[in-house]
Parts: sequence; structure tokens; C-alpha cells
Amino acid sequence: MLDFFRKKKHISIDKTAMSGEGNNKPCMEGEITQVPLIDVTSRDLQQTLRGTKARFSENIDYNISILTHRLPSRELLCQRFHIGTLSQTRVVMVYLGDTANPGIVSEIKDRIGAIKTKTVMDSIYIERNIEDSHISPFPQVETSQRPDVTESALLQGRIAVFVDGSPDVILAPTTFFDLMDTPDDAYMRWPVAASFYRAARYIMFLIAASLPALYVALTSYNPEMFPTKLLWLIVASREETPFPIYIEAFIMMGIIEAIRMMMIRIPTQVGATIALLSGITLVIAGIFSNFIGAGVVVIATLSMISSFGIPNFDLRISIRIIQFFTVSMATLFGIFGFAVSAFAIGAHMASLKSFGIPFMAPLAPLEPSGWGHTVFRQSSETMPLDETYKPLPAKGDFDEG
Amino acid sequence: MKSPDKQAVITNTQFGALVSSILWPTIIGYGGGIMAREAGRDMWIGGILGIVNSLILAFILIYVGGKFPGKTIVEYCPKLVGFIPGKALGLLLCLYFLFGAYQSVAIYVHHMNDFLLTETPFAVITVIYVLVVCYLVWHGPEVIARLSVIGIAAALVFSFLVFLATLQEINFDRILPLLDMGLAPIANAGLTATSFIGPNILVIAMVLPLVKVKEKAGRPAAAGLLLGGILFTFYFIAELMVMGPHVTALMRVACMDLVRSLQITQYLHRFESFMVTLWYWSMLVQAGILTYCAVQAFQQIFGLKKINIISVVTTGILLGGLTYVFAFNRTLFLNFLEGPWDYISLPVYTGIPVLLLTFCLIRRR
Amino acid sequence: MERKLFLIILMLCCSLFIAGCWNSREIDQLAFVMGIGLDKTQEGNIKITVQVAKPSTFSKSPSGGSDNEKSFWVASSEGKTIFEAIRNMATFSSRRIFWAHNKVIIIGEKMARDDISEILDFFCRNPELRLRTWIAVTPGEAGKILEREPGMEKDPSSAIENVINQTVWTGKCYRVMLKDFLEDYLSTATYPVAARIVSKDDSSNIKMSGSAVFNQNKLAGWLNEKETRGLLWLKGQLSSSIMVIPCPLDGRPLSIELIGSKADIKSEFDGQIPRFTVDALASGNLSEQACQTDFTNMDNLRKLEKALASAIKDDLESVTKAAQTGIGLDFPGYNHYLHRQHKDRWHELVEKWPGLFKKADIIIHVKAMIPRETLFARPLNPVKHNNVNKIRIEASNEITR
Repeated sequence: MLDFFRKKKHISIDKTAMSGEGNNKPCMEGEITQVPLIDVTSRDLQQTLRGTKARFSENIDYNISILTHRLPSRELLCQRFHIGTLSQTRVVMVYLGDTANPGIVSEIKDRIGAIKTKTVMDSIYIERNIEDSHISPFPQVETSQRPDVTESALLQGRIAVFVDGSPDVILAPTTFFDLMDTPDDAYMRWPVAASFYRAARYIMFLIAASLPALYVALTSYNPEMFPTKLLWLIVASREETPFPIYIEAFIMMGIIEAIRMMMIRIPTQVGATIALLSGITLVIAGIFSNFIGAGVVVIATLSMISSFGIPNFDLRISIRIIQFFTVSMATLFGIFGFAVSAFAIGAHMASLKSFGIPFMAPLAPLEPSGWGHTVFRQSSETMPLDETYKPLPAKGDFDEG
Repeated sequence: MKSPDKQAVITNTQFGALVSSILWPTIIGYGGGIMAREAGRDMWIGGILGIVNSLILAFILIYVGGKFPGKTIVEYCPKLVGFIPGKALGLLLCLYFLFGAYQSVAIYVHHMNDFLLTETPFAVITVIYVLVVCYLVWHGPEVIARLSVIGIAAALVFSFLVFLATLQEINFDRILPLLDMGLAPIANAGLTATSFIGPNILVIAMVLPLVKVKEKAGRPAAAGLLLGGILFTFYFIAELMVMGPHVTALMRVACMDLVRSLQITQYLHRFESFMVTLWYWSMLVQAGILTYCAVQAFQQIFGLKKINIISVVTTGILLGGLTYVFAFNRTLFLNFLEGPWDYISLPVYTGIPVLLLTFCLIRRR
Repeated sequence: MERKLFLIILMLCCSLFIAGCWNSREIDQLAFVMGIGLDKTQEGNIKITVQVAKPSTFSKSPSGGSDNEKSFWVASSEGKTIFEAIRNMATFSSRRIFWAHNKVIIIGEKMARDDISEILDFFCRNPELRLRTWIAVTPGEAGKILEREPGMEKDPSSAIENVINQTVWTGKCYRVMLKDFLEDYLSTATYPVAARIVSKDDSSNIKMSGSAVFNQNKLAGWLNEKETRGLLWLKGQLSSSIMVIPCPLDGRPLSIELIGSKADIKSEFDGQIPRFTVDALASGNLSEQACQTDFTNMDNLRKLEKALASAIKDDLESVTKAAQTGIGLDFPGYNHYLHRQHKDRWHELVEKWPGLFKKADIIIHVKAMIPRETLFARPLNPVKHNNVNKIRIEASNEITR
């Protein structure tokens, strides 16, 4: 609580400095029209059992009106941009003046302002332009269609960017734990269960990234690591199969990707059924005709299932691609390759920053005080706030003499 | 990276994690066997001695470093002992760090090549390992410190697994009687332990300027040292209990042989893969920070500020070359660690802090 | 720049794929050794017999073999050293010999009498093998043991492993792992002991019975089951055993299951000669009783306890006698107690210990308790009519009081 007040005081000084351009008006004062509620077709990327059913629509005025309705505060500030020489798309950066880190606010403002483009078709173009590293497989901003997620992000001191014509709101900065977070956790009554599912998701993340690689490394390099009886089963299932295990693994992972894509493309009424049928047919026929070992099927399917524990779409896709990388390394160097690739990914994640906030915070710059609503979920009557997005010490802290 | 270039910062918690996760990996690698040969069933007391020893040295380094805020040991050496001797000491430190990094790399590569991938060429493992180390060095100490948190978590998980597996093997008869061979071998083993920890202790003097709250750096450092010390002393005791002092002394890489003779029920009957994946984090953090210190020391001798790619690549090539030339022959490497390394390491890791402290007190800084 | 980097990485990966996979082995191309038998031939060569599992017969997978197929394969080859003999196996084995899942090493008597240091050296040096492999010595030829088809298990080595695990219930065999055997072998003044395995002539089964004592690298003698139980007492490894003792009153047999066993050994010096006092404390359950004695009577129970104590004392004395006069080696490890309790004097007399031990004075005290008679309250006798009344009256008295 003390920190909260300190922060408030600290930032209110900066606010005057920041609002010099006069564009930093409270959202309520803007040219906001209360747009009547539009029927939004449900396209839920973040479905929950409990919580609001409202979603952002494609009209920016409506989106901001939802937000002002939820947070009718004069601290809710809007910074308006018109991006695109042709389209003049309206882009609005929303933040809470008393909680957001002014350094990050000005950084995002600069980055949005520097975008040179003819048109902005969707918020993804803004996202790509303001990210720290677009080579990295890990998204450094979060997107959401939920007003409640956006609201909670704003309360944490994060910044939301609305783009006209896009229902996806960009939330930045983002850490790994934000990407692994679902609204379900916040709406779950019992914190132990919420923490359990959170921990389960981290384990699923690890399984999705590494299980096929571990399997390939152990079976084709170090079969001594398996318990004897398990090994017998694996060997027995592979007695007649023609391909080496790593090729089987690649084939299976490819098939799973193909089925996943098929499910997206085929019209929904029959899509699931056809995908299910074709997948089962392929796998069962493959196993029975000894094209493919049963072990690989189990492992690849398990990793696919686990990848759906990752709530964020971009992160999930990244993990599925990373899995190919780890399997390649394991194919080449066995358990050493596995360890190297795991470490390389870990090092990359630790080095990644989202607008100056370390991607793995509060784990990998260790801040146990912030674990209450990131790594686990604390039991509390109000939403816990932490200092993950607090500004880092500036350069001046280190005197050269 | 488009983000504003800020000076790297290591929080105090991370500093402690860094210290503890770089402390234990190499000493359990080759140190266990060497110490068992020196002190038999009292080797674990040698480990404790090593920790006490290095705690004192760490406090000296933190005290002296506190007099020169924002400066690494290489930078303040010339101010304290004179320009030419200071630069010479800096060079010595640079070589010492490089040697520590080379040892760390060699020990890991030996683990891989002797136990798990016996037919893969030594050079390939070395090259890939050194590549990862260079990647880390390029990212700098801040990232290494962040990884050390994961490293120490992995170390704790691994130690817990080993603890579970040793529960059914607890046999105090193999540790008793205490002080079986008198104090001299234990002191010797303590020196061996410290010579393994030596480069890691001097790392404190190199990363101290990056620590967030320098006035309170002593506490995390001490906590880190103690945690790392507990980890490897526990490991020594486990080795003694499970294998016995004679088998530990027989083995070249005793830690892996401990893992070879453990199981948690018949379902988790081999630990080697856990060992190389969990222990690996600390190991790489250690190799990374030591290499970083070598690069940084070298650059600071010549007054270069920012880490540039040429020195990283050069150091990487040096590291790989050293490993390939001097560690390919395991007997040579072992004989070096067992014999001359004590005599090389001892003057550096005790000499430099004591020398600096003396100068510090004489000049009343 | 990025494109170039990507190309370089791609080329590197491709070259690695072409050159890589040094260590890779296909698990279906491996012959998993489950048990090893080592013998000495007439010409002085080493004959190694391996028993290889055929995992395809282990599972019910579609590719699995038929039920009648023998699920193991025994092969043997000769060579001047163990390693040569193993490599010679590659001349006729269609699959590569893989040691890591080896369960048991069986040493033939001829080999054991000659020299076992080579065996220890080879199997402890090889990183594939675990140090938890069981060691057993057989009178006769080791190769024959591995060919015995077991009744319950699919392959003999699993059967042997399980039988070795079962010995904790009988206390008639001293089981030892490679690592402990090696430690005893390396220590001064300690003599390693291994399990003794025999094949029962009439059936196909094998039997763990007694133990084999080594004088450093040579087999020095055998211990029978009684002596082995005494040895387990002294080494503190007896977890359970059945003591069959004659009933102290009518001489018919009783069985007592030992549930607790603890032997404290104190050492002291009587001039130059060491003296050991063994204080054994046993507790057991009366599990079976052929006699009609009522042991709810405390006097009878005392007598029974005395009989049990003297039976245990007999065991302990038999092994001590075997150590001091029979085999003439301190294999029970009395010297450890001397070492622990008088370490200064021990270092002086360690050289003279083998001679000194034969003269050492060993006093054995045993105390036994029988706290439980399992479920019964009195012996299983047909109750006479009067008795029933008596019991009833006693019971009613009990209640009214």
C-alpha cells in the first residue's frame, strides 16, 4: 500500500511534464460518443466460464467507451494518433496516469509516432512495429479482446493500444507470465486451485517444448536411461518399423501440424469430425501396419495436447516451432543437444526485454514479492498489484568516478 | 535491440544466486575425487573448510571493492598498487579467469564425452559448448545473473532428487571415524576445494560494480556462498555414503559415478540425464560468467568500455583451443588439476585479496 | 544481414545433419544384455555368457511375436580378456551388445578362485553399466545359470534379480551390489562377500543360498545359510528371517519371524589382543506353532525367548567361528568397529590385523523378545467343555468387576 502511494506521488510530478503536448487528455473528455452496444459475434480466444461476456468490437469509439465505463477515472489518459499516410487510422494509447511507468509511456509513444506506413490494416502492424525484437519467437506484447483483461492490465501499470478496425487490443509491456495467464485464474474462487492450474500450465509449457526432443535424445542416444520395462515396450513397438525414431518424430509432428491446420480451414460444422477421423485413421493404420512406432505417436500427441495449455496463441505457435528446433538438436547431439537447446532458449528468454521490462520478470530477475499474481496466484480480496512494471534504475545511478 | 542502452544491473538476490550457482558445479566434477584421494572419508570437512576460507576472501574483496565504487578489481588495481604492477595483476586475473572458464568447459565436456556421448568427437561438443558460452557472454552479466536464478533452482531440484535417492542408502559407518587420518590431509583437501572455488570468488570482485545495492552486497554473497557450499558438501557426503571413500577416490569424475549408483525406485533408475540437464544450467552460468570476467578484465586493462564482438570471438577461440589442446588428454588434465593447479591457484586467489587489503590498509583508503 | 545470417545457420545445420549423429544407435538394433556369466575355460581364457532379452516377445503390440517364442537368447564367447571376449561376440551377434540394462553378474567358481579383479575393473570402468548391478558367485559354471528357464518371469535375469530382492525375507543370502563389493574390495582389512547362487538340480529354478567370501581377489570360501544369517546380523543388514526353533517344552518346531534385529559391537583392548562384545537384540513374532504350549503364560514365553536367543547366538557364533578358524579372514568386519572406536591404535596394528583377528576374543550376548503372537491369543487347541465354561466365567467376572 505504501508503495502504491509512493508511486502515485512520484509519477504525478512527471505527468505535468508529459502532458506538455496537450494530447494527454482524460479519455472521458475526448470526442467520445457512447456507441450503443453492438452485437459482437463470439470469437472467443479467451473463453471463461465466469466473467464478462463483453468483447471489444471493431469500432474504436465503442471500445474506448467500454473502458471508460469500466474505469470512469480522470487518471485514464488517452493519447491519440493518426497512423498511415493514406488510411489515417486512429490509434489510441490508453494508460492510467498514476500507475503507468512514464518511461515506458514515452517509449511507446515514440515508437508509435515513428511508424511510417501507408495504412494500418490491423493492430498486428502496430504490434510488429513497436516490439523490441521481431526475430524473437516470443511475443513481447499481449493481445486481448477482453475489456476485463485490459482493465486489469491498466491497473498493473501497463499500457493498452487500441487500433480502429481491430478488436485486438495491444497490451504492453508483457512478461512471460502475462502470456501464460488466463482470466480463469483471476475468476477462480480458490487460490490453491488457481495456483495449481498455473503451475500445471508451466509444466505443460515445458512438456510442449521439450518432450519429443527428450524422447528422441534418450531413445536414439541413451536408451539406458529408460526404466527397463518401459524400454521393452518402446523396443517392442519399434521392432518392425522402417524409419529411425527421429524421422518418425518429425513425421508425427508434421502430421499433427497438418491436422491442426486442416481443422482451421474446413468449415466448422464438419471440420472437427473430419480432422478427428482422419487423425485417428492415420495413426491407427500407421501403427498397425508398422509404419510408425506407437511411442512416437504418444509423445507427439502428448506434446500437442500440452501446447494447448498455453493460453496465448502466438506463444503457442512459437512453442510448436521451437519444438522442431529442440528435436533437431536432440537428433544431432542427443541429450547434450537437448540441454544446449534448452539453455539457448532459456538464455534468449532471460535476455529478452519488453519495453525495458525483462521478459522473465519476476522470476529471472528474482522478485519474490511479485509472485503473488504472476508465477502463482495469491489469495487476496482485491487484485494484487506488484512492482514488475516499476521503472528500472536509470543510468545516473552508476557514477563513473 | 531498440530499447535504450542502460547499464547492466544485478539485483542483490540475483547476486546471491549467481555466487551460489557458480560455486558448486566444478568442485563436484573433479574436486570430489581429488579430495577423496587426499582426505579419504573426511573430504566433506575439507569442503566446509573451503567454504570458510572463501567466505573470508569474499568479504575481503567486498570490503576492498567498497572503497572503489563502480570499479572492478582490474580497474582499481593500478590505483592501489601502482600502474605497472596493477596492470600486471589485471593480466594475471584475466588469465586466471580464462583458466577457470577453460576448466569449467573441460569438465562439462568430459562429462558428456565420457559418460553419455562416448562416440561423438570431443571437438564437436567443445565447439558447441563454447558457442553457447560466447552467446551468453555477448548478452552480458545481467542475463547471466538472471539465468543463475534458474540455475540455482535447477540445482536445488537436482539436489533434492539426489537426496531422495540417497535416503535409502544412508550409512554413517562410511563417514566415521571423523578425522581418521589427522588434520593435515583435511587442510590439504580444504586448499583443493578453495583452489576450485578460487576463480569463482574473484568473480565477486568483477561483478560487484553491477550490484544494485553495493553496501548490502555482503549478505547475499555470504548467503550464496553458504548455499553453494551446502550443495557441494551435501554432494560429498552423499558420495561417501553411497559409494564409500575408496570408490570415490578410485573414480576420476566421482559425481557422475554417484549418479550411476543411485536410483529412486526402479522407475527412475538412472540419473545421468537429469544430472546433465539440471546441473548444466549452473555449469553454463559458471563458464559464462568466468569467460565474461576474462573478456572484461582484458578490455579494462586496455581501457575499453563496451564488450565488443572481436574480444568475445577471440576469447571463444582461446577457450575452445585450450580445451581441445589441454583437456583432450584426460590424464594430463587430471594430473594438472591434482598437482600444479593448487600451487598456481593458491597464490592468486589468496594472494591478490590479501595484497589488495594490505595496500588498502596502508594507504588508508 | 538477417537473411545472410539465416542462410549461414541453415548451411551449418545441413552440414551437421550430414556429418552428425555420431553416437546415435537405433534401439531396435541393440541386444539388451540382462545378465552376464563369467567363467574360466580349461585353457585359461575368459568365457563370457550373456543373456539377451528379446523385447518383441514382451508386449502385446500388433508387431509382437508369438507366445511360444523363447523370450531370451543366451550366447557365449571366449577371449583372453573380458573386453576381447565381448568384442568377439560381435562376430556372430546380429545386434550390437548393449550393457546398460544388465541386472546381474554371475561369476563361476573357477573364475572366482582364480582372480576377479579384472571383472571389477572392467565393469566399474564402463560407463554404460550401473554400479547397482548385483554380484553372485555360483559353484560350477556361471553360463549354465543363465540358461535356466524361469517359471514366472520371461527371462532368467529378471528372475534372478527378483529372487535376489526376495532374499530380504529369508536372510539366507548376502546380497551385494557392485559398488559395495568394490568398496569392500578396495578397503584395507575388509574382505568382500558376495551372494551364492545355485541351480537346483531337479527343477529349472535357481536358488540363492549362502554367500561367497573373497580374500581380496580370490574366492576364499563359502558360507552356508546359517553362517550367512549370522553375517547379516553382524553387518546390520538382516531385515527379516524365519527362525525355526524347537519348542522349549515339548520339542516340536515353532517358527518365529524376526522383525527387529540390532547388534551393537563394542571393542576394547586386553593388552595387545582386541576384545569384542556383541550385544544382539532381536524381536520376533510367533508366526507358527506346532506344539500345544500356551505362550500366553509369561513363564513359557520367557523360555521361548531364551530359546530364540540361543538360536541366534548359535548363528552368530557359527559365523565368527568360520571367520576366525575356518576361512581365517575378518569378513564380518570386526575391524571396522576397532577402527571407529580406537582409531589411533588401529592405525598401528592395521598391518598385523589378519593374524591378530584370529586371536581376538569375541563375546556374544543375545537378548530376544517376542512381543506378538500374531493374531491368536492362545494355541490352536480344541477347547474342552470345562475350559469353555471356565473362560466364560472368567470373562463374566471380568465384566462384572
